[in-house]
Amino acid sequence: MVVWLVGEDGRRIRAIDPFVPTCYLAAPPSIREHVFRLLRRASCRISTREVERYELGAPCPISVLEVSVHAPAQFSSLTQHLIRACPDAQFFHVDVSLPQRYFYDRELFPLVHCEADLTAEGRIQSIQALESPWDTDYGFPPLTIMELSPDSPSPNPNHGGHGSFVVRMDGEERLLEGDDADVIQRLNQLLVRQDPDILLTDWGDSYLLPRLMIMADQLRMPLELNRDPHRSIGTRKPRSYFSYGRILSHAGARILSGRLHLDRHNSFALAETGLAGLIEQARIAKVDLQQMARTTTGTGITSMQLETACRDGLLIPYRKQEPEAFKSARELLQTDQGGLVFAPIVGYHEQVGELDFSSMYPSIMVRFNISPETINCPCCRDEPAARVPEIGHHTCRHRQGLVPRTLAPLLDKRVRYKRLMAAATQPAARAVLDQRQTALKWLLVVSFGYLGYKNARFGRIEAHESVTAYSRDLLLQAKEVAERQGYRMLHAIVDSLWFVKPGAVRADYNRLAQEITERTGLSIGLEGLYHWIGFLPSRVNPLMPVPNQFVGLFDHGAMKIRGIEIRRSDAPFLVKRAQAEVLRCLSQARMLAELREQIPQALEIVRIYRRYLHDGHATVEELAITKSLSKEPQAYRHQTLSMIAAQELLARGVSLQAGDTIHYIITDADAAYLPDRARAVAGLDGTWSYDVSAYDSLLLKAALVLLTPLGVTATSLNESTAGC
Amino acid sequence: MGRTLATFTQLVQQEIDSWSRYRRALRREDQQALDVLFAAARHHASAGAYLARETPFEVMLLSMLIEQQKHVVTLQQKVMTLETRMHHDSTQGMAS
Amino acid sequence: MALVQQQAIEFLFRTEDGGAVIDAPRHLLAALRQSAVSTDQPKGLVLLSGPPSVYRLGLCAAVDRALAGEPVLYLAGANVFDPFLVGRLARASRVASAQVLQQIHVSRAFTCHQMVRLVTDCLLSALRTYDARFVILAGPLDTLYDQSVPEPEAMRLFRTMTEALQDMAYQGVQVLCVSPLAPPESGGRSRFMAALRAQARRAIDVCEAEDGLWLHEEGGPEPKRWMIPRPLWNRL
Repeated sequence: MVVWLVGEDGRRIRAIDPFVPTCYLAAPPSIREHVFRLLRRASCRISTREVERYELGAPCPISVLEVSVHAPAQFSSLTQHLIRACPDAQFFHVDVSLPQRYFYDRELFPLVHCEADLTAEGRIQSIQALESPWDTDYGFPPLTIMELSPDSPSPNPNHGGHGSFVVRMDGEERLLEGDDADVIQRLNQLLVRQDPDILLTDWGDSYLLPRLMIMADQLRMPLELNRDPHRSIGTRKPRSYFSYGRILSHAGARILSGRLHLDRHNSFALAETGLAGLIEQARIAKVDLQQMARTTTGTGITSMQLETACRDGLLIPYRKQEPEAFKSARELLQTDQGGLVFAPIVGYHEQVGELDFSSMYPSIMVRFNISPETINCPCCRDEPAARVPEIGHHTCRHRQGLVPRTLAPLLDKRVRYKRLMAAATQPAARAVLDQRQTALKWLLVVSFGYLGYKNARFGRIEAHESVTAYSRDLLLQAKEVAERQGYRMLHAIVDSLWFVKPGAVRADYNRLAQEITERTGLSIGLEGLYHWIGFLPSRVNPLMPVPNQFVGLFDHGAMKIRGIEIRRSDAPFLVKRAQAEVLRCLSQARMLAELREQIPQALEIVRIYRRYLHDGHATVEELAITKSLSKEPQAYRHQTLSMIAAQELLARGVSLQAGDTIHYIITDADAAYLPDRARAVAGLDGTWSYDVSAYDSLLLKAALVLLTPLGVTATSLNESTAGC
Repeated sequence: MGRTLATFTQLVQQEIDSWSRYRRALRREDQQALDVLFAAARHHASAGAYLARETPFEVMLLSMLIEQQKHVVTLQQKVMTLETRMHHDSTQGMAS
Repeated sequence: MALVQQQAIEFLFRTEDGGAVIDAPRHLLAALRQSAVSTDQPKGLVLLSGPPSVYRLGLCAAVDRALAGEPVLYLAGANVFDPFLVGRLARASRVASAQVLQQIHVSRAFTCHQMVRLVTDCLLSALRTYDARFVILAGPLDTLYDQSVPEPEAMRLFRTMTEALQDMAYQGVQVLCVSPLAPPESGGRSRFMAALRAQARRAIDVCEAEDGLWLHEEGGPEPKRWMIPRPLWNRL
């Protein structure tokens, strides 16, 4: 295993750790004979021995063959060969990525402060961590960062608008110009001279690095992106995948050796939690930083569970095979439910308190010991306290499960970060703590989905069902406590509840939270007290309530906004800005009566924006609409605007896949000739104009959703703001 | 592993769709009344989901009745207020 | 040219003496019992394939057995199960729906490995536990279309699964496979459908038309056709 170390003297050292990965297999003697024959033909040293190991939740160990591969580079191909050759054998520990296995085995993690004993040739004799991944007071590692971006005005350089390259380091910015040979030469010089640890790019995976690699290849010039001269640049192809009911695209990857390549436009973790959050996730999950940046958060939580299993000596099955236990159709009807969502009481309300159960689902898993092997265990069948509410399952009261064992320290660390955040005086320090706790929040969020995910190693549908059953019961308990004290529940979504009671102040809501916590045993806190909050009606059918669509003004002055244009990526910037201004205007009001007084001013804002649109002043940036392609662009049957823009890009030779994001403006929504209806933003020249009425109606809709509950109708809005 | 069964909100929508011919043959004002009834069923979707009954239409009917009952109470209160005021006015009128 | 024996399933809406309306769904169930999933014929694998509406037809067959008090095992491979249809059918038969739901035992498989494990390892013991002799496999091939499982492995799993099903059929268990047609993106795996068909004792094709749902069966002494009228189907 190649391990890169930064010495105390600042030297970057390429070290080799003689790590021997193992896998296990269970098979009858005849198949084992076959395995031995295959292993004897392997080209590297392999040792085997009989051992006894436990499967998760099994009462007795099974006898398995432990296969140790003394050349880690051959581990994957060898195990894959075995799996193909022996389909009837059961394999374990075969598909966990080796860097992760190495971290688990040596009790290390990415960017760990450690002590190592090296030979003169760089072989690691011993290595141990000097800190724990659960520490909260670690600093940013002493790494140098070089930034590389395209010098292009286009929202996505892959969609057109090629330009030169910009390099930034230590606050200095250089433009790499000239012909291709000049660019490669200049970049190589900078890479060798500055020798950065992290190459932080914009569009590096999909555009910059592939382009640079092609340029260097054509010129037969070396490209010094890798620090490790022994390795080539790792590449992964782009692909589309489903996640939480949405199709997403992955731009592929360019992975460096001895240096970390992070692409700001191809990293969920980086975008959501920043560099500090990404590092926190990599440390906790023990997933290599370049991998963590590009993978789903689910990989992180899975890695944590795998580590728990490895540490406890459990076998990690290759394919999950255990299906759902039979249940009657009646039971299925009861169990196949999600969390409870109470439709909101539409309209504006004042002095409302929002109470949130903190990390509800993972907390339920820990508190009620929900894990694949603890659900419906044979030992606690008759214990009333082990019953899951409303459904027929029970959980184990005797042994803590793998999932709770994994999640408990994670929950604890997030609480510690939140406490440190509250006490932090420096804004910069608080920002770092916030990024780290957000990183942990994401790991906790996906931990629930992974209980029910079909390919999850330690998932089980009954565990998933039990969590939601508890959540429903807890939400109802919270409702009952509050209603007994005269509160009215306005809205509730799974783990958040909005209550109102005439005259109730902050202390009352805090007391309510305290009582619910005592009753349920699960921590609930006051997310905030609103001067007012408006639950907004559906735009399609005003009679139908829409959950999670509201605007609220907290008593500390901040606003909480959900589900409307300002939060949506597909709304044009101009519409978002208009909505933001209307909201700012409404936020002057502290009470409902004052809110109504703000209406004339809000209408005036709308009028000014409409005039701006009609006068033709709006710019591309203000008008661009961002949409994610929900299907392969070739598979669309209806000519939607995003489809027309996608066709335009395809015709220009841009490659697009489902999940890709495109940007367009509406040019003439009703044009008979379809390509005239919309234009892609990338590569837009001076010859375009926008569809005033299409944007005007988007603008009106964005204003109307806020003003309808205050008595403004579509007609009155249109008439009172026309004046142009 | 997504949900296997339809959610209660989807069931309400299915029910609405199954009544579409009926709705079409109603007068405009009656269509509006029907829409309000189904909105009531949607409004109480959480209770319907929690009950998890295999015959959801009767659950929807009860949800509609709840909203009707609330309306009745609201109207009763309004009538009572008006009656009190009328009574007050008339006694005042007699006194003067 | 083979003579096609053609008949609409008879659905009486009135009794012979012109009396009360008869519940049509009950007749559908009876007709289904006589045609597709008859109990009095030799045991074996029956395949019902066609548009996604075959799932509802399969569930109708399950309800029919459950109404007769017989336990049914329902293996869901495509994450499809509709207890509300069970509720409607039970009600139309004037039987407490909860009772019918209790007779149908469901297990869902979300991966092909789970599906095969369900058939090979779990099914036999479940048949014993619930004293059941009737199994419905809804969407047995769906999980095998998953591209993340290599095709040779999917092929091997398919063989393992169908061998186990045949074994069970020989032992007197009646297996009804309900399968929609292979989706276009299934590529080379669309041949699983043909292979399943070849193994079935009876293969009934379902297709949807304006006037209703047509069931068509080749093989046997002569081809057969039945029809479920659209108004009745829509009422389900």
